[in-house]
Amino acid sequence: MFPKLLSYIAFLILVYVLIVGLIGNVPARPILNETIRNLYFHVPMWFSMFGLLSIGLANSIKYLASGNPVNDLKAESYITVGVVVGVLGLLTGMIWAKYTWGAWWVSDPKLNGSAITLLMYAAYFVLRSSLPNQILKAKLSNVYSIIAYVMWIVFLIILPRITDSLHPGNGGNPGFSNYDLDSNMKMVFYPAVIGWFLLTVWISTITFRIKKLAL
Amino acid sequence: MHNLSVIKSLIKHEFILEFRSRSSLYSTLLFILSSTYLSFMLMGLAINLKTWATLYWIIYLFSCFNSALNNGHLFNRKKLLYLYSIVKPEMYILAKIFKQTVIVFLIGIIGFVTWMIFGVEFQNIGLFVPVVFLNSLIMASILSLVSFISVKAEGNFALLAILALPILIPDLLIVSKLSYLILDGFSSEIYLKYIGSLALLSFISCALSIVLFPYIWRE
Repeated sequence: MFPKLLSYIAFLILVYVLIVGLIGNVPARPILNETIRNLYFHVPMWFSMFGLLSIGLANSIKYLASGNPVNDLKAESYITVGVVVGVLGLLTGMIWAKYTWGAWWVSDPKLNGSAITLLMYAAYFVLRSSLPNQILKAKLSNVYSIIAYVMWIVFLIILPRITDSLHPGNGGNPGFSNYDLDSNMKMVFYPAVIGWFLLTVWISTITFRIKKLAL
Repeated sequence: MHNLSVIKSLIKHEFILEFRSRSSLYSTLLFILSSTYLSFMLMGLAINLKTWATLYWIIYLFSCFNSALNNGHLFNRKKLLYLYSIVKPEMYILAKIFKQTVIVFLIGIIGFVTWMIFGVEFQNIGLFVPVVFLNSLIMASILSLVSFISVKAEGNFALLAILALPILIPDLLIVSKLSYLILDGFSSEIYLKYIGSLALLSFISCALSIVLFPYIWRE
């Protein structure tokens, strides 16, 4: 159960982020221009995805340790919402890339990394849907999700060292924190991260409750 | 001491099973030879090492899938029941990883030698062999686990490929870059970190498969 107070807080934070993020002051940077506002929406998606998939992993481990089907449902809900958030992160990133780098898709380790992550978790859903037996489904898919998560982390660590990235803070590009992210933007960016994360956790708990009712 | 002898006899058992259903071994061999030959005919000797590494590892990957599918005996429930009662799952998966590593290592070497016979020039060949070995270890441990999952899900080649391909991508990226650097004769400082990460990855995948296998082996 998600505390009601936290959902109100998430709502208020996101209203603040939407209003201030769209009309607040941002530094005028060449190429980036107004698209820098996407920082409040694109980057928190990745943080949320990371958080949700980690909670999903914790639930998968708990399921294997205890065999309690509730943990399996929880893992599935968090991973489902995590993947949706990942797709949103990819879409917001693609729009941003079109206006700054000039193409919808570039061969960049972060883009490849996120695409591969989504592939891995898509395979998780394929596995789930191909198994009619509840217990077998839970066991196999949780084992698979643990492998996928570990390989994903390995991937995130290794990939940027192999290829250069266009993203800020990689491959000789300055990070946002150096000069772009002034204190005005920080005032919106940090709440945005918290707000989006709370919202997605809230959605996951609702998904979990629906799945539990359907069981 | 007792454990060691159990693992030994399990390994022997695995090899006997492998050679009893020889058609799978032969089809894997035929697959790697014919696809290597096909890519040689398409590319000729004008192939550069980067393209070569990509081709070689992708052919190798699918040969590994082919070889990992030779687990028809797992469908035999009575035999699995017998195995449950006499061995620990960790031992079983260790024996399976050992056998699979030997087989895919040989397949990798055969593919590589075929390219050498065709006349592609490589340097530092001695260093490439341990790389093939480490990669075989990764393939064997991940594919042993994932093929068991796909057998339990009553899936076919497609399911195995769908499940295994995304999680093997990090490994393939490292290994194709590494083998290109080694065989093109770069100095060792450049590729040392790749060997390190390959070794780390093989350790992680072995550990994962030994830790996770006991959870899925009983229904």
